[in-house]
Amino acid sequence: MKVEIENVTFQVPSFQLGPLGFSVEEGTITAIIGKNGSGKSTTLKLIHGDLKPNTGTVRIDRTKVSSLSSLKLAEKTSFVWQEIFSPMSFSVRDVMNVSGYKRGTDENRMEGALDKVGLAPFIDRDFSVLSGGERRLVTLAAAIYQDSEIMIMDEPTNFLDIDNQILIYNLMKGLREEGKTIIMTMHDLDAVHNLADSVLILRDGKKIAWGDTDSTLTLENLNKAFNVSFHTYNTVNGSSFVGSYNG
Amino acid sequence: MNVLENERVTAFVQRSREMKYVWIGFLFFLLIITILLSDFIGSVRIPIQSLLEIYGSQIPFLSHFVPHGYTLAQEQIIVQLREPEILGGVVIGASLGIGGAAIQSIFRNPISEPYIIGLSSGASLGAVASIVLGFTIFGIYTQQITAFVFGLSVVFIVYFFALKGGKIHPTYLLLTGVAVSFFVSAIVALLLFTNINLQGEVFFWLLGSLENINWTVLYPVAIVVLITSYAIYLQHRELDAIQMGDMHARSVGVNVERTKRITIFMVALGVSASVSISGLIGFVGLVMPHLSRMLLGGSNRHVIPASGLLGAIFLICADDIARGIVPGVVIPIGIVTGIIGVPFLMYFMRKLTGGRYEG
Ligand SMILES: Nc1ncnc2c1ncn2[C@@H]1O[C@H](COP(=O)(O)OP(=O)(O)OP(=O)(O)O)[C@@H](O)[C@H]1O
Ligand SMILES: [Mg+2]
Repeated sequence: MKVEIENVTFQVPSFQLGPLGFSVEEGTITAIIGKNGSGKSTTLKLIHGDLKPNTGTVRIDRTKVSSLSSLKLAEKTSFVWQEIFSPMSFSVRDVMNVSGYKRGTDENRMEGALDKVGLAPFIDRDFSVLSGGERRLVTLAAAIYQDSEIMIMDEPTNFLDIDNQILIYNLMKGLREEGKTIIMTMHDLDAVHNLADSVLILRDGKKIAWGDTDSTLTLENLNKAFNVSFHTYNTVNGSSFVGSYNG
Repeated sequence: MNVLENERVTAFVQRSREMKYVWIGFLFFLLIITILLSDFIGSVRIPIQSLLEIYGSQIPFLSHFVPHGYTLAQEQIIVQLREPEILGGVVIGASLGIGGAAIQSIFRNPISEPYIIGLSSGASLGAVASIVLGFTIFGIYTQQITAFVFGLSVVFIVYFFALKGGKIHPTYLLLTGVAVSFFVSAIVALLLFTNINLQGEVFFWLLGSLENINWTVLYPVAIVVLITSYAIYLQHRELDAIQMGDMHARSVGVNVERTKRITIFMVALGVSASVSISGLIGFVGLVMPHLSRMLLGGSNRHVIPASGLLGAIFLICADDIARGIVPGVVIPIGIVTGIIGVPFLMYFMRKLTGGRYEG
């Protein structure tokens, strides 16, 4: 399913975003990067229709997102939120059940999704007392369980240790192979370089660059997006970005 | 509590949550037992034989076959006084417990309860105004009807004040509810201040009591509570989703605003109807949902029915104490729920969670 963002702007007194225009192809991974407060989460919420743009339109599968019912929207997209709520006395199963709202409970798929993040034995544990990383993994499993074509993920690897970060990177590659479209934000530039097909770079709500990863994730663009100055060095796995202060 | 004991308690809670349907069955059984035992309590002693015969006489068909070895007075006490009072406790306790579970889910706030959306202040205004101003437009049930209408109206006012861009934001609704309640309570206080001689009568209503419930008022309220409770229960999956945030709920497919609208309306209808015949009974709507979550886990599929059952059981027991503790005197039930219920439940809650309850 294609996601098209056309000429979108969004304004609150303290912040202006856009104009943004880009379109995300089916079966690709798109990363949005930029400083804290540059507008990444706001962009994701605009795509998902949680925020209404002041101008412009967002289309998912050629339908305006503003005209989709919540049920239709949930069928097409799932969302992994940057912050995680702790509902009162929920077990992991209860959290998963919420994501099964659209399709109904399917124990096998639920266990399968938890198994993908290594948390199948946690199904009856109390969600609110899990560690931050464990909760993050459960929300990722919940999104997989929801089984929508498009997956929006706001910093899916925050709270995660290095092993689990790599687990999620591989999981995302697997999902892309299944044909899922992933739109995410991420602060780890090497991971973005490695994973993403396209990159959107934001600074102060403005688009610095958009396009395929190789031509967008350049030293020049990164130096525009952040205050540190970047250079690359070669590792056994290819090249890597490092930034250092100008001081 | 030491660490070991803590772990034992946690294991107990864990096991308890795995037996959800056993718990609900047990609570239902406990409710029936409580109802039957409560019929014994009161200033007049009625032997079990007579009690059973009176029950039998109320069951269609069976009534022809049971002996009538009881007096008319005994029958009157059971059928006209105790039964409506006890069943009133069931209906009111259940509606408060269920309303509490739903409202806490919508607000994602463990210290909210049905009264917080303006219900209690509105109903008080209706009841107090009808007493003070001597309304009689609806005959002998004027006080109940005005309490119901005012309770419902104030919730509507709160709801529409809190509506911004077609959406209800939980924090904003909470603040609006508190603000409007303050305003309405001030009017109630003004009415009381200017009518000192009526304070006794009003006082009883404000503290709540099941004593004045008879079949005529119980039937319509029971029907309203039955329908609204079922309507709330039907929303249990939506309410679970809303507990994880409005935006998350929408992202999994829930029509958030519709769910809130239905739930608030159903809670307002059910609880307004309840308090219109009992006055303000606090504490049940706040605590029963928590007790249910501790015993059965947080999913509303179980929390809603369990809160209703626990609310009913708790309220009948509180009423038994109110009727039985001082012979010949009926204390307002609000005093009992406060003085006896609160310390007991505080102890129970600490015990069950080892003092580590995570909302
Ligand atoms: N509803 C709102 N009202 C006012 N300001 C807002 C609102 N939502 C976002 N902002 C502001 O918009 C800016 C962008 O926020 P956003 O959450 O999109 O940043 P971000 O790029 O996701 O940052 P981070 O990396 O910290 O998650 C911030 O300055 C934020 O304070
Ligand atoms: Mg963000």
